[in-house]
Amino acid sequence: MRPANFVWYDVMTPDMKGAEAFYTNVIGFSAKDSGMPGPMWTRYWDVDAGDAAVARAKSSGATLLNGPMQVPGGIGIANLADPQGAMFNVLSLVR
Amino acid sequence: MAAEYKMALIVGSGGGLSAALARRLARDGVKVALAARNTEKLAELCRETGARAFACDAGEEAAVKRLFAEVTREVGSPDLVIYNASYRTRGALLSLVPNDVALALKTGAFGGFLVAQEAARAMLPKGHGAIAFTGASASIKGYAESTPFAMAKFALRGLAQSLARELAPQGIHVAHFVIDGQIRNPGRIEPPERPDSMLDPAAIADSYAYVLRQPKSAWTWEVELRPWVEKF
Repeated sequence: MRPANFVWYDVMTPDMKGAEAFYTNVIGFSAKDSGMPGPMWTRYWDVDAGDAAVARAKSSGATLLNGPMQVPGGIGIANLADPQGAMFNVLSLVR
Repeated sequence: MAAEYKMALIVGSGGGLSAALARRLARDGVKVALAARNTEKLAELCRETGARAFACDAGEEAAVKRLFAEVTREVGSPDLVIYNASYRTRGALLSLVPNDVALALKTGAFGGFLVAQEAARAMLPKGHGAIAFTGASASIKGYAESTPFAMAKFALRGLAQSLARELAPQGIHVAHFVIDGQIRNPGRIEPPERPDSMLDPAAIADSYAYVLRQPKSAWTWEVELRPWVEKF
């Protein structure tokens, strides 16, 4: 198994317009609404086999919060909580 | 002397690599036609490059025949055809829906055959032309939970290699491009701490343009392109 990299970042915010203005000004990002509450940044670990990674995480004590689901482009995502309750996220791309 | 192409048809067009190819070709003075299932998203690119957009489901025989007839009538007979279409779906084997897998094969591989057949029909009488296929990491590496894409891309590579051998002696340059990594696009950029870890579509388009300018005494049939983060 290769060590995973962070590849994807979502920012969760209750103030979409404010966040868009802020990040557009600060770092030139454009925004897209994910429909999730916030505020927080979500980072996704890039894993080769997303479904298998979710199964491994669950058998190691993680709780599945959302997914695994496929988003446009065939990208698989899942949001989990580790045994201490810290949220983490995995993403697998069609490659 | 390098081949000169006058009219390009890109099948499978959107905002990423195909847009960079259209821009590059237009800059080189090549007329461009774009084919996609949904042409609404191409309006801006057409304005920018002077390209014409045509609606087509590349996996359907009748649709591909109609596409070539329309393009030939409205823009001209293409002497460069790029097959760029794919349908991306993934998942563990037991979770895959057979109809989705069939669609991945139809769009990613069978459509390449249909388009190549029509392209060759137009090019063979002139003994001149080029057909390029866009591959992926999955063209040479079958990743776990990526069976639909791997099957389609392996098949497309087989088509390209077989056609390169068949058509080169008849004056048609066939080339397959293994894009071994993620392509940067407006909705997907690399993390700031890993610059250039995604392929720049304009840089990929430069490689297509280079290969497609090769003289026939030194033709490339396959190119692999990968950013520095990819292992192979």
